[in-house]
Amino acid sequence: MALRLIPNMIKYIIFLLVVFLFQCKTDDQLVQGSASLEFNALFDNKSFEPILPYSYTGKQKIKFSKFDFFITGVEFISTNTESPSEIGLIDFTSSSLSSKKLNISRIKAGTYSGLRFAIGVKPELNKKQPKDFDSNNPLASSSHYWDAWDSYIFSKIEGVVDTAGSGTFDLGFAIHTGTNDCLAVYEISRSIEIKENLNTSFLFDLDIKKLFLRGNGVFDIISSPLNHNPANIETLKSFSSRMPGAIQIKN
Amino acid sequence: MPTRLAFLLLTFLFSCDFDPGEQDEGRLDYIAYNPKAASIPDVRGYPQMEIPSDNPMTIDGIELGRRLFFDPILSRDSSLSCAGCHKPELSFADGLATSKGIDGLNGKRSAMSLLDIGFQQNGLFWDGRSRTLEEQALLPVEDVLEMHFTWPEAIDRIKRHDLYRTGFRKAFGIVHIDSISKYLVTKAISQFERTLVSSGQTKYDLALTPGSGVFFTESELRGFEMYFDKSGGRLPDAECFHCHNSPLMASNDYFNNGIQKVTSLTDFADPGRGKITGSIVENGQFRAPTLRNITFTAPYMHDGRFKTLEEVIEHYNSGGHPADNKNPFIRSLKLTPAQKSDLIAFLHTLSDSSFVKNPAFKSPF
Repeated sequence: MALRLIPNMIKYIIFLLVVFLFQCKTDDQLVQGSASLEFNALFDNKSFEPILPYSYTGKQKIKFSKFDFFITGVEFISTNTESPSEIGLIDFTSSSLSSKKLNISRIKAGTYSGLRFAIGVKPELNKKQPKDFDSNNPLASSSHYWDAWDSYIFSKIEGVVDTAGSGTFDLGFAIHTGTNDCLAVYEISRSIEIKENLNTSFLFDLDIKKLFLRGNGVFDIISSPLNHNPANIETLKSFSSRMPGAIQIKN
Repeated sequence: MPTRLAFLLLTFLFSCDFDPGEQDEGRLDYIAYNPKAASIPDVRGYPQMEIPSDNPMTIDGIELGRRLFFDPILSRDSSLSCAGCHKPELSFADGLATSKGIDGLNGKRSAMSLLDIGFQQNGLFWDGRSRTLEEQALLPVEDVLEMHFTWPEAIDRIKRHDLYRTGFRKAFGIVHIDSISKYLVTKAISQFERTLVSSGQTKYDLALTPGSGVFFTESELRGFEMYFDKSGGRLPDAECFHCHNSPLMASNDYFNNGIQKVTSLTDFADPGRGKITGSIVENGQFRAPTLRNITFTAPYMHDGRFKTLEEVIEHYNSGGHPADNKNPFIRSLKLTPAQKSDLIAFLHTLSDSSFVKNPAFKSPF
């Protein structure tokens, strides 16, 4: 009799197991929310617009025609840190509003103790090349790859300077950071709630002037207008290391 | 008896095979539809080409696209095809400063080479006004400076053509000629255009391929080092790669390279990208085209102002005209005559004669 019951019990156990399995949520079905990281540029605490002249130092004035940077490795910090894979190319000189925002989907809902992201391209991505990415990925941009250095260009800052305060912007400048040495990390410690099916928005100001501050003065752009090759690595590091300090969360 | 006869007659009539071709001349489902997928050849170092999910590449689609590309049927007076301004022997440019339409009127800009066009993202044309190849191919047909026709008339012509009826059926599986549309025409042309990929057999490609046995000459090597700033400071940085980066020798960005003399950013005779985006900082910016096959695509720049590579190099050596948004790498390079020659020697290594001679890219007529 007992022996006859065993097959029925096995069937019952299998039935319960199946019911249990179908009740479980797969990773895709986990309770998730989303977030957006939105950036607003300033220059010396004033609203930033491309090609508007700003006072640089003394009589010198500066205008920007390009300012962009990569964001990679976004992490919502907790005992089980969430590391979404989204990559952003934030561009303050593009006419597109979406270029100033990185949207992140599918973050596990819950409470986190902080937020961290890399300004630049993390080493595990930086060892790849544009050809390794689908064309809709920001890292597919060949104009942001530095063949001579086997590195992505982490950020581009370009413009012109009125060197004599004469009203003529007579000097072009470019600061292109790159290589793993130039990776900078922004981190903020605060309680962050990611709620199911809701978007949590983070607003940041980035004051471009802070990237140019050196001691009591500013970077000598007239002596070193073009910075994009190995000879300029210390200069480039001095810009990239100032990126986290130039960013301030607003909400 | 008459009832039985009528019944038999009806049975006979209904048992007859129905020939759709006899009933509706537009039906195409009597033609076999067996699409065979086509792929883009791999070129060393090239990215994966993104194929739109609603326009997969097929052998029949490409063949139809090739026929349409070379057929003047899309122009009002049947005198001008896509190939009229994009000639295979000129790497799919036309050798003119600005292209000429059917009415003898010149367009505003130079015809761009279509080499590696399928890899271009971030907009097509010099100003990026079309998002995809499919969108791009819609425009020249109705442009008064180009084919000066209308799509409904062009589609009527195509529908009357037996080869095209069959071609559209085989390429897209349509069951009736009424389904032939401008969107299918441009899909087919785009499929063909996506096949226009470099052979990967230029001297430049081979010289960088270990074991190829192909080497740069000393002059080409110096040019290569200046182009990519790889001399370690021994030679001047010619700053070329910022806008014409490998492997495509192009970028998907827009630049003001200082060719237009302006007093302000609102002063550009041709605002280029800025007119599309509405952003003043992008006025005077144009796409950086591929430099592969540059020796086939003279004259140069969006308006064809430079007839020779020597003139182009001279422009970049001079630093161009100032503007607030001029790319900062366009600066006085102070290259010696020998260094300019070295750069040109390197540019010649980008010539892809296999591409321009490829029979798959020639006219089927």
